[in-house]
Amino acid sequence: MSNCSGIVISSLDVTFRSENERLEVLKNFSITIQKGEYTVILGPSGCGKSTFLRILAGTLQRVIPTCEVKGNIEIKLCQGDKEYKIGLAPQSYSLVPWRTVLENVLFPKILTTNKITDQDRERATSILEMLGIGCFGKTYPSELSGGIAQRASLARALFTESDLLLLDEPLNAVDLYERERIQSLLRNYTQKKGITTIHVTHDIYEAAFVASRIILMTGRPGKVHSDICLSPINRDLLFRESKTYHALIAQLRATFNSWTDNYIKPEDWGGQ
Amino acid sequence: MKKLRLSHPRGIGAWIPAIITFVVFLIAWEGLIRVAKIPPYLLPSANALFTRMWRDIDQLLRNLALTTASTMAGFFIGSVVGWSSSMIFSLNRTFERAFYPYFIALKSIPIVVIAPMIALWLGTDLAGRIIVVALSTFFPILVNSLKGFANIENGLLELAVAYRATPRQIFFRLRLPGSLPYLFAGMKVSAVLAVVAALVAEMMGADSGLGFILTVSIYRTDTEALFCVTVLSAALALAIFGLVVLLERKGFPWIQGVLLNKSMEV
Repeated sequence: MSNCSGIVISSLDVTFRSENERLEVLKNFSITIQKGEYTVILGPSGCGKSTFLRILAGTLQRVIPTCEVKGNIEIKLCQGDKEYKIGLAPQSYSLVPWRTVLENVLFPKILTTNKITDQDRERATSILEMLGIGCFGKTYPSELSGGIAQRASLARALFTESDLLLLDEPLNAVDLYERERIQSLLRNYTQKKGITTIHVTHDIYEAAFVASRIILMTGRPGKVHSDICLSPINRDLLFRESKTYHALIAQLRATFNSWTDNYIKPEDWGGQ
Repeated sequence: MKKLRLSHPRGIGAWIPAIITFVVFLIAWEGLIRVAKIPPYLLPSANALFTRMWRDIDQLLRNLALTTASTMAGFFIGSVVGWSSSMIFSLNRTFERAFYPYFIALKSIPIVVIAPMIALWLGTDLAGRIIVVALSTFFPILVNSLKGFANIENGLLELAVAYRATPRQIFFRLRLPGSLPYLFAGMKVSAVLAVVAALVAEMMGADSGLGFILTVSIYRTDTEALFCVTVLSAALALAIFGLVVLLERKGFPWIQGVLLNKSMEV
């Protein structure tokens, strides 16, 4: 692998251990992600999507100290020895309650340097405006609705000029109209800046729209089921009407349906 | 854009029910004494109480000022020492393991047992009383703040680790501000305990303060004076509690929102 070509993960096993139980979350998980790719990780609940994000963020062992991680993880996203920067939008939003929305967007910088310039403030404000929540800059998180809090959390992830953007179901609480607008914005913004993005979701419509590549994961223990690469067409309203988009959704839905074929059907209840 | 308001009603309107309750209470009090013909040495009338209070106002205020001084000073010292100790404990687990069990043991000793010891060692002047108040306010603040330092939201910690914050940055920019709601919760509990401790300290042979008046009025069966002390000490406790609430709301307006969200989750 050349100096800054991307992420290589090979034969990754992650096991959560409790006193008398072992839970295999990821098993023999291998993936190579090119720098600048917009990868969507799609899969059923509990298949290890968030665990994979935590591995990339380097937070897994801190959050779940009893987990076992085996395998090879190589992340090269910067020239030379420079450490890659992360932008993270966690599933739980995790806004800092004593900071306003604007300060929350600035928080990665407040946390690590505590030196905020007027330029930083301007940039944070423009990101909030871009996400349609510019008027909430002075509001405290406890006063926000779920959808707005989630967009604030996404704004914070975008504020860090990151090499690796990690999004854990970043739009699931956002209303449909805004969700579609932000999906297109996310795809075009990250493509323009060349940011490697890993976007976790279980929404097949979102996956089909934003991704340059979709990794479909199986249920627990999570493995790569299929790897779908998509053409780099502009993501706009026209794409949402296109045959490519609808065919992709049909393909994803068919795969999901095939997994649930063996489930007990309503007509089988009661041993009939 | 209209903001979502999640706060309690404030201003004069919020006080109306409490004022009505107070007026009804006064009327019931007077009525009970007149109807049941209760003798004044058992229960003085509200009227007699206020007359007495007015007559002795100079003496009462002088002693109230002394009690207030020892309560406030002790409360302040107890809060600062309690919060600082919790900070040291959360920075260094060995310290916590070494001292915390003994602090818990000390906490279980009632203040009426501690007060005479302090009186014996330090006397019953202001310094001794301040120490008694500080000791009784110290524990709730220590215990609460310690919980606050530990109870950082997992997601926030994860975020800080992902952004490669140092343990020092995590402590000062996440744990420390995050402990404030717990500090204030502890201070609200301690505000009332502080007045009790000041009265107890003054009852251990002091020659001034509301606790001193209390002791004298018990010996003389001076029920009116006893009630005067009751009213003033309750007012003092309320005032200190109010001061803590005011400081919390004006200084850290976000705490209300956090508490409301927490109670809604339950």
